[in-house]
Amino acid sequence: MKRQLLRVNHPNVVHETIDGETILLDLKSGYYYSMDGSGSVIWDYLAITGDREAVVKTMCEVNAVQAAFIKESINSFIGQLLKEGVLFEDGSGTPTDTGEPAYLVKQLKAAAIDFVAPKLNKYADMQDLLLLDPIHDVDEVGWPEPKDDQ
Amino acid sequence: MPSASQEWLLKAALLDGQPMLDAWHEWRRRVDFETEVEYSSQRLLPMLYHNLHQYKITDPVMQRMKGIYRKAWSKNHILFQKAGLVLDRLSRAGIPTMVLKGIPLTLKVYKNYATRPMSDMDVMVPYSHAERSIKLLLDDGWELQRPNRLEFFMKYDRSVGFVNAEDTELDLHWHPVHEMHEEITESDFWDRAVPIEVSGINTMALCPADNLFHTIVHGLRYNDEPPVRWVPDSVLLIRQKDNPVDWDRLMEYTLRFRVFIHMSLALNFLKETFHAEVPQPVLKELAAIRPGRGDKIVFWHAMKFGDRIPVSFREKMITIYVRFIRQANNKKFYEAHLGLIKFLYHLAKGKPLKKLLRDNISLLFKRKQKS
Repeated sequence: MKRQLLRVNHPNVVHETIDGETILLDLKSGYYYSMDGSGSVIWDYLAITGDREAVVKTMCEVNAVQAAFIKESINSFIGQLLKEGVLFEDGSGTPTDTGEPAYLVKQLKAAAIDFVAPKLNKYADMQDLLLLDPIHDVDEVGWPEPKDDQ
Repeated sequence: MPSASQEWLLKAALLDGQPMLDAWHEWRRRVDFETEVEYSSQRLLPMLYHNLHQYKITDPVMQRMKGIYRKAWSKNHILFQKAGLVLDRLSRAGIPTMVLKGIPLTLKVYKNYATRPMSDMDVMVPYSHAERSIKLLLDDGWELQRPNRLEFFMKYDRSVGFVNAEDTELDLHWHPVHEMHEEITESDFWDRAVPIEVSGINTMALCPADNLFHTIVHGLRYNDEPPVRWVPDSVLLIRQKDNPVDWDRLMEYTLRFRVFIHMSLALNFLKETFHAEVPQPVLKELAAIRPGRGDKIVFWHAMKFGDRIPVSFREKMITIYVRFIRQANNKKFYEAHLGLIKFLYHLAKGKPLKKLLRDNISLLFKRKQKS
């Protein structure tokens, strides 16, 4: 059965998750994005399965007390990703045959327990960002966050 | 060769377990992160971060190292996209292409877009397509970095450098190495090339043995910033189990292009310092070769001066001479000198006489001042 799934806007959008943080680069617009915590976990799940309903269902089941807040936060976050054009809705999609990888479900469940609303950080002006010296011109978070005086 | 502190950094980036942790602590003890991480070492930090983060290291510099990783990842992706456009342009014109250095190493060996930072792209085309490729790139807005040397480069060198309005640099090669390029046929290096896809465009890459050959010959040269990247590139190439190095092929090219001193030094270093699995018969065969006078001169120059811009008249004359010998070293030592006058003529050709005199006199004067 055809379902409305979310897809990463390849090849314009490239992404990688390292050490609990997902970084995204839109090669067309030059925008750089990052997200961590629940945002990174949700992204990883969506990038593989595209199934937003499953994200909401899995996380709300684990944390029924905050279900309404979780649902609203996830939908708002996904809305932002769609608005930025890093994801798009694919009406002709079919879920992956292999199903959802177990580690992704485990990550979603863990993030649901003490749920913190996902946040998408956006950085424009890639040319300026690339000029930053990643040792001396950045704050304690590291590139691309510039020091206050930059 | 790497300095002592660079060697610790390389071990921290390339080894596992306790040896890696020991190397990391030693590097941190020796090097001030704020002031002493020079350019060559900085380029190893994404790989170091990638190796360290798996061990949950807590160190005040880890977040900034992660930032260095993020920056390298972003920069490489942007460069890959630009490389895709160049490859597409050449391919659509029916020109066979091959990517060299960072691009194929990233895709085939490092398998990670951050751990092998790049500052430019290297594309190779067959020599018979070089002129047309240059024209196409010029039509597309790329500019030659040294336009008045084009004729000389086409005759005696391996590549030309381009830059575009966005300051992106591109090296267009027709041979991968400087050494004895007169001897390179159209099928050399292409005959064992492997397919690779760059930003959706199909192209080719050197086979693992040729890639290792190129990495060592190109990397083991003097530079104002000590060249160290050839070490992880080579170690990882040798470690590949799915695409193993054909050592017979490596030796075939090593002998043919007379780079046995480079190869012997590099492979022994990689085996002793990084436990790279270099077959003992290869090292034995290299040790048994007696290099000729030309080979020693070429090697001596590579290690002492490399590709740096000469800082004295004497160094310039030596460099010009060695550049000539390097590409004519297939003949006997005295025979090899027969084309020297022609080489010098082509070198001077196209350069305004006034500039030629001014440059050399200023270098001569500099030298006199020093002495």
